[in-house]
Amino acid sequence: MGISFENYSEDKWGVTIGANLRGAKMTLENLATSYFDEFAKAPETSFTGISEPGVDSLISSINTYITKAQDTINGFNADIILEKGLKGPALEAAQIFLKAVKDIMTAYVSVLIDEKKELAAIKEKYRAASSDISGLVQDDAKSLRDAAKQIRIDDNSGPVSIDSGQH
Amino acid sequence: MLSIDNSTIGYDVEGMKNAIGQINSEVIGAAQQVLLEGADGIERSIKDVWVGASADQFVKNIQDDRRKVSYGLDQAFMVFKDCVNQIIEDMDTVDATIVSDRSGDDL
Repeated sequence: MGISFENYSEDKWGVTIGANLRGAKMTLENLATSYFDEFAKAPETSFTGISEPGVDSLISSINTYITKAQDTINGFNADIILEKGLKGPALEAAQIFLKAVKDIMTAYVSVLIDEKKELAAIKEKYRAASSDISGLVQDDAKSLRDAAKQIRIDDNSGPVSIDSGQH
Repeated sequence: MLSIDNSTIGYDVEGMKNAIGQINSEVIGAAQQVLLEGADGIERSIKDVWVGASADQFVKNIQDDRRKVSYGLDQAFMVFKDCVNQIIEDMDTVDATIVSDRSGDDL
């Protein structure tokens, strides 16, 4: 006598496994149609990892700090040195120093302006990346649907063959 | 204390040191305050609207830039301070040698 599967006939196994496969198939199809299709629409929304309206306010914020830095540079005039009472070579050294400070701060303003430009470019980079990812997701969704269909085909191929031991 | 009104030639060591201290506060301090307010303000604004590794890197770059500029300001001040100290030292040397000691000279 072979191994006995009295409580698990071929039909029972087939039904059980088939039901599970159908459940898995339905889950995958639901995922494919609901989640991935919705996710593929993401580029249509305003959110791409960075809030697009937020970038505009961020650039405005940087503009404020650029203005503050420029005002500070303009405030570093000759009077700020002269009123200290320095004369002769010390005054000359102070004037050279003040010029150096203004040059450094002007370089800083240039950095802020570059950062502002970079932010505007980053927004576009997110848009482009999002579009690329959307294409990949759509490909993945198609693969997932195909996989789900394949499971259904296997499911219809009949119950799993198991030796019941009743031969 | 001896005071020479309306002096036009010479140097005031304490006055120069005070001037250096004031310049440090009014120029370097003010500039670094602007840098700090700017970098921290921008960082806060970024965190309000941008999330992710790129945002973190952008903030890091801003703070790195701020530190570099701040360091540059400190260096400029150190050069200025060294320069003024050198002027004081040179003036001391000049002052000490303008009139020579003739005690050993024959009349």
